[in-house]
This record gives sequence, C-alpha cells and structure tokens, in this order.
Amino acid sequence: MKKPIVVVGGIFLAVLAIRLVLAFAIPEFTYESYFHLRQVEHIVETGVPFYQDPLSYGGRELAFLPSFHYLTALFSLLLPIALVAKILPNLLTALLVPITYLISKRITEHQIGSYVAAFIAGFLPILYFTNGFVVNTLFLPLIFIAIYLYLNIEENAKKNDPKLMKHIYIYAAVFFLLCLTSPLAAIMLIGLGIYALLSFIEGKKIYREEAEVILFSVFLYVWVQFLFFKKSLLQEGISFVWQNIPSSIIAQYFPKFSLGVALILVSIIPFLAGAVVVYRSLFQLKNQKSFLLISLVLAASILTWLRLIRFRQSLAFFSVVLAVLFAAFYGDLERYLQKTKLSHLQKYLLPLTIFILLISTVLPAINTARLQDVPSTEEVDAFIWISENTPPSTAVLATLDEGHLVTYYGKRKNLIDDRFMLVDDAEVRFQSLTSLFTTKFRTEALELADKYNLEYFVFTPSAKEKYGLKRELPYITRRCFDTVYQNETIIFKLKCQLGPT
Amino acid sequence: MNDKNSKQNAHAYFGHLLRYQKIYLCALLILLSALTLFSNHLQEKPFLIGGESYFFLSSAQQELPYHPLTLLFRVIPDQIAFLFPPLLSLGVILLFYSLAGKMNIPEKKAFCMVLFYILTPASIFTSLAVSSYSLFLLLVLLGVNVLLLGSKKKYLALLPFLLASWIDIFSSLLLLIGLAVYFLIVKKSQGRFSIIILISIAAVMVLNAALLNSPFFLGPFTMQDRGADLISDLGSFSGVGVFALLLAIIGLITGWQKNNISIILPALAVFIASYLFNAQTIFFLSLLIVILAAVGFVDLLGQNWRLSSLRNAVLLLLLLGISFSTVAYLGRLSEYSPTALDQKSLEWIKRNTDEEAVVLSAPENSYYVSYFAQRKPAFSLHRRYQQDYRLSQDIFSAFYIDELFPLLEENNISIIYVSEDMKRQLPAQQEFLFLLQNERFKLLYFTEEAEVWSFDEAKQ
Repeated sequence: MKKPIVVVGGIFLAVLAIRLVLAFAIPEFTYESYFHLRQVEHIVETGVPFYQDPLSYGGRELAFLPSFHYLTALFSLLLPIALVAKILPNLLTALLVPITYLISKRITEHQIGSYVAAFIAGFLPILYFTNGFVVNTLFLPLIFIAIYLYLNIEENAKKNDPKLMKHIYIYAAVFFLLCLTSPLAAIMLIGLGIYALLSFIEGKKIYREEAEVILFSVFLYVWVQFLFFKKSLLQEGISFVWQNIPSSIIAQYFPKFSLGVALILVSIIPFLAGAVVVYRSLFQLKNQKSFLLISLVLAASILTWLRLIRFRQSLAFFSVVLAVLFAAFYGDLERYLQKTKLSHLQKYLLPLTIFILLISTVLPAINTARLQDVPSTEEVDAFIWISENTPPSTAVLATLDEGHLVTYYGKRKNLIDDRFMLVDDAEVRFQSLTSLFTTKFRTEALELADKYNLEYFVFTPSAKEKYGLKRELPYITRRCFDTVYQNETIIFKLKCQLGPT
Repeated sequence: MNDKNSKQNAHAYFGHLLRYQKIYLCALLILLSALTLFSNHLQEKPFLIGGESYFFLSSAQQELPYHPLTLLFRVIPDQIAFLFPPLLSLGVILLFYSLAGKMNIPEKKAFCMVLFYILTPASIFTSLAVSSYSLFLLLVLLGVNVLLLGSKKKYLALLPFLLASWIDIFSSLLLLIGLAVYFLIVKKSQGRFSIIILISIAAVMVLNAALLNSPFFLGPFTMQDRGADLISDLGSFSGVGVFALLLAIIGLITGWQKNNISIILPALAVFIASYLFNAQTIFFLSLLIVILAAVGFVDLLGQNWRLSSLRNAVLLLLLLGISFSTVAYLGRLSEYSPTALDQKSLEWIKRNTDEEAVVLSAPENSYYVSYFAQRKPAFSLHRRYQQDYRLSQDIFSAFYIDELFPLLEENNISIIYVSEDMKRQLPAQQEFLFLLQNERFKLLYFTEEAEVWSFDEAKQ
C-alpha cells in the first residue's frame, strides 16, 4: 500500500488542478464575490476594510468579519488580486481533501475508507462553485480543522498524552480564526453542546479538558461576535440573526428543504451511506466516535430549520460530514463482505466504489461548475463603461445581484445589494427595486428614481430574464431617457424628472 | 521564579481589592453615576431618566397619595431629586455588605455579586432613574439586617418591612412569601415575632389592595418587548448583558450540582413568570441573574482547571465581555429620553396650550408630558397597558384619516407632540406622520427634530 501522503496528496493535487481549470475557464466570479473583492482591494490600499461604504445603498455602514479578506490581502501582496481570488478559494476548498482524510482516519481507523472519504470530499458537487470568492471557502476548512483538533484533544485527554497542550493551543488559534471568519462557527458550538448531551445520555465520559475547551470556545465566540456585530445587535435586536433580509426574498435565501436538490448537490451515494451510518451509530452500535459528527449534523440541521443558515451553506457543511461518515460505511461494508460467501469479490469493492463515485459525484460536480451563476463578460463591460463615462457621484439602478457589480466595476452608488445588515430601509428599497423593473408607469419610476437619486439604469440580459421582460423596461421613452450604451446590455440615462403638481 | 513572584503580586493585589472592596465598589458606583449625570449635564438633558421617575414626580401632587415614593417626593425638591436614585443604589450596596457579614457570605462571592450588580444595566438604570423596586430592595435589605440583630431590636424590622410591602401587591406578596419561607422552613420558628411580622405584612397588603386600590404591579412605564427587554445587548435599556446571562447558566448548573436548586428554581420560576406577565419586574429577574452569574464566576475561578491557561483566557474574556456590555450600555444611555429637546418642547406646550388639552405622543413619553407639559397624556401605560398599547398601534399605523380622526376625537386629543424618536421610528411617507399633512392638523411649534401640532375640531 502506498504511503497516505502520496495518495491523499495525489487526490488533493488532482482536485486542485480540476478546480483551477474550471475556475479559469470562466472569466468572471459569482455575483457576491465582487463584494469581497472590493473589500480586499480596499485592505490592500488602506490596511482596513470598508466598514463605512460610500457606494453600497448610496452610502452605509457595514458589519462583517474580516479574516478572509485579510488573508486574501496578504496573498495579494505577492500576486495580482484577480489571480489570488481564483486560486485561493479553490486551494482552500481542496484542502478539505486532506482534512477529511485525517478526520475519517481518526474516527474509523480505516485506511482505504478514509481515502475514499477524501476522494468524495474533493468532488462534492455543492463545493464546485469554483468561481465563488466567498467566505465559505475559508470557513469550511477551518471548521473541519477545528473538529479534527477537538477529536485529538479528546483522544489526548483519554490517554493523558503530553501532546494535549500543543493541540489545545492550535485549536484555540484555529477557533479564534474561525470566529473571525464567519458567525456560522456557532454550528461548532451547538454541535459540541449536542455532543455533550448525547454523551451524557449514552453515559459516555466527558473529560474535564473537553469541558474546559467547550467553555472557552463559547465565551470566545460570543465575545468576538459581540465586538463585530454590537451595532447590528443593538439596532436589530434578536432579528439580527436573520440578517435583516427583506421578507419578500427570505424564501429565496432560506428555501424549504428539498430532498431532490439535496441529493443532487450532496450526491446520492454519500447521502445514503451517511444515513445508514448515522442510524447504525445512534441506534445499533452506539458508536461514540461518530457522536461528534452526528451532533454537528444535528446542529446544522437545527440552524437550517430555524432559517439561521442559508440552505447551500448548510448543505456544504453537511456534505463534508457525509464524506467522513462514508469512511465508516466503507469499513462496515468491507467487514460485512468478508463474512459472506462473496468475500472473494472484496478486491473489486474499491474500483467499484470509485466508478460509482465518478459517475454520481464527479460529473455533477463538473456540471455545477459549468452552470455557475456569473455575469457575462459583456455585462461586466457595461459596468466598466459606467466607471469611465459617468460622473462619480451618480447612483445606478441594477438588479439586486448586480448591486456589487455597480460598486466594484462601475465604482458608483447602487440602490441595493445583498448586504442587508444595518440598512434601515432594506425592505422599502427592495420593493422600490422591484417596482422599477416591473412598473408600467413612468411617474412611479421617475418618483422612485428621484427618491434615490438614480440617474443611470442598467438593463442586462440577466435582468431581462429575472423579471421576465420581453423587451426593455416599459416606461422607457426617448423623451425621458437617453440610450447611452447599447449592446446586449443597455444603459439608459434619465434626463427628465417629475415636476411640481 | 519570576512567574512565582508575579503570581504572588497578583494575589497581593487581589487580596487588597477584596479587603477594601466596599470602598472600591462604592467608588465605582459613584463614578458610573457621576459620569452619566455629567454627560446629561453636557447635553443639557434632565438628570433623571425613565418614565417611572417622572411618574412619581408628577404624581406627588396628583395621584397615589399614600405611596412611599410619592410621599418622599413631596418633601424632596425636584431640583435635587436626581440624587435620590444613586443614593438608593449606594444604600443597597452598603446594606448588602452588612448582610453579607452577618450571613458569612465569602468575600470573593460578595465582591463578585456587588461588582456584577454595579455593572449590570438594570442596576445602572435604577441608579439614574427612580425605581420603586430599587426602594423595595433597600427596605428589605434594611429589614433583614435589623431582623438578624436578635433581641428586642429585631422588632424595628417591622418598619422597613411594612414600608416595603406598601410599594405594590406583588412586592408585598414577594416579601410575605420570602419571610414565611425564612421563618417556617429555614428557622423553623413559629414564635410571636414571626407571626406578628407575617400578619402585619398581610394586613398591609389587604389594606393596600382593598382600600387604596393599589395595583398588583406598579407599571409598566414603557412599551414591553419581552423577547429583547431581558438582554441589554439586544437594544433594551434594562436587563442584563449576554455574558452575565451565560455566567448565570453556569451558576445555575453549579447550584444544581450543589443541591441548591430547591431555592434557585422556585425563585427563578416566580421571577420569570412575573417578567413574562409584566416586564417592569425585570429588576428582580436581573437581580437573580446577577447572583447566579456571581456564583458561576466564583465557581469558575475556584475550579481546579486542568488547563490553567484556558482558565485565564476564559476569565479574561468574561471580564472583557461584561465590561464591554457596560461601556456600550453607558454610551447608549445618553440617548435615553427625556432629551433636552423633549423638555424644551413639552415646556412650550405647558406655556402655550389649553390646560385641559389632551396630548398625544409615543406611549413612553406620557410621563414626560405629565411632568414637563403638565397636561393630560393620551396614554397611561401603568393603568391600562393592553388597551393603550392597542390604541397606540391603531393611531400610529392608521393609513387613512377615516381611521385616524375618530380615534383622536374619541380620546379628546387636541395636541400632538412628535418627538425626535418618533420621527426616526415612524415612516414619513405613510401612516401617522404622513397624515399630519391634512388640514385639520396645524404645526404650532417646531425645533430641530421635534414638532408640536394641534388637532382641530371638525367643522360642523
């Protein structure tokens, strides 16, 4: 058998190579990536993020955790930002391969099963948004490193191993970084809480060191979130956790659970295997080693059910856990085969598994990457045109998704984008946006344009598709609007306003 | 060697702090109160904050003639009334120390209890606003201190206890149950003294309810949001911080392990139930949370941690968390009403409107209207909360004049005070503020962000 570092390293490099090819095949990034790109650029220029953004919503305050942006900014000192933004997220996501291997090995102690788990983690369709420059790409590896370190702490505490302190220090550093990366670190804490409860119910001993680490994690998390989101907490109260998302689009952010979508994005084989392992661990084997992972899945499910985590983020976390659990499933299957008359077929188990996984995981993953929701180059050109041909104080109308394109490429004020937190009138602005793209009445459009000082209206093919428009905006007339840019995307300049009644 | 020295130094400092805790903590309380009062002075705001303060100040002449605080404010001039709440808080702390000595509460625990009490928003608020429950606490502490003196002096405890039971029915009931538990279960004494005390308090309670029509709960004086009122970090102006709450959970678990749950759980159940029923009683719930948080903190401190570096990190995080909550709260207190603008506008109403006028404003402003404008407010939350809550919702979210005018007419409203806060919270392009454009409303006065409007009678 080859050394683990060769096998896992090989899978890691293959995954990274495929991801980078897919990422570079599409020139642009997913829509929300442009917010993060702008923050990184600002950090590189000034050393601090845009917490007072003069362009978003025409000028507003932002609240977010900055470690992902600082990390990228650090790499941007060596390479161009556009390159770092393509490589770093894919590198971080590919790191899930060795991390999954380590966790699987720790839990199952099954070598081949752990390789298969690492392979699955490398090709999970939900993680194949290769052009997404988003915080989740740092969050996922960090949370799984923290889980791995926690498992080590538990093991060291059991054996009274002197390595314990080393693992605790690394865990503390990783968890601190995790807290600075995403509020979703709460999954880990809630998972640890459920783990403690499950262990108590099953009569499993929780070591004093574990309890101390859990306590430390809770207070550290609360303190960091309190520091960064103090103002949102005070302003929005408990609804802060729902991020002030307008009620009309909350269903889009937190859709109801769909088994079909979940099966496609997580991939059917790990999903079914995971279900079997969870059932056997909880009700048949009482396998305490899987308790932590099962607790984390429960935590993610509860938070998703409460609409505190977006469906895709939850699925991404869930799918990596399923990949780890697949190692246990593979081990059980191998042992089961050995006991049957089909034991001579055992040598075909690995190739068969890889073949099934290639079909059920790799192909959907590549398809997911191909169908990513990104702006076209032509659309991006239109926003670049805005930055070169309009006055700097102009406000520009574009769709919700394109809000960050207005600020990033256009360098102009937008009406709305998807960062709703700390915005008083997010709901009203969203209604206004919908009206501006759907109303037939010019007076209404002019009134809203006047209210938000909108001067340029960008009408992209994506906007046309989103609002189901056959032609351009119905209220556009030559008398009131000049067409200043015409390609597939059209930009109109407003030239009249509502007079006194 | 150096490590040992630094540990010894830390112990010496902590020992000094514990020995002189009474002085240090009282100084801290005075400092926090003085800072807020100074900030109010700089902003030309009234020194006293909160609806309850102005309720007592204005009702000293009008209603509740037999309430201890009303009687007190008939004697104390309004100009120095702002000194009353901090003195009350100081008294509470000093009496607690006296009691802690008698009850052999360990120094560390007493220190944490008082420190957390001082840093808790509920307590900071009551050291700047007149609070009947803060007075209740002072009187009960005084009573218990005298009660523990023994001999004949203990009969003097009757006076503070009777005064405490005068506040409202809930507090007299609380006192009655507390003393009954103490005499009958803890002390197992059914002597003459205990019977006299219990019967006297019960008699005052009945007298209060039957003859003086005292309410079960005195309050609320603000609109209630039970989801957020408990945690000051979620934007409320009372309650406790998140860290104190987390520590209280640890304290609760510790109490459970030490079999103290038979005392903690009933108290927690009573205070949570009363809080859910009336958020004004949050003071008692906050007090219990502070005690549990102190117990939790001392327990964390005293535990034999395997990982001492984690212990230090946790304690540091806790102290930072609690201090940040307090600092953030103190920063926000300067926004709390009444503002200088409220005072100026309401005094204009007093000088320039009919004495019989009924003034409409946000329900929280009612007590400022009573005191500064000396006019009848449209709402009286402490008397008819549910009814006024619904009425205010109907008025401030009315879309059409057909909905709004009948409500204003039915309630004889002739003057409308739109405060800075109302302008910030109510939508300008629709509902109430938008309807003010109707010709039956006339702008009488405006200054910066506040406005006074009149509502004219309909022309026949």
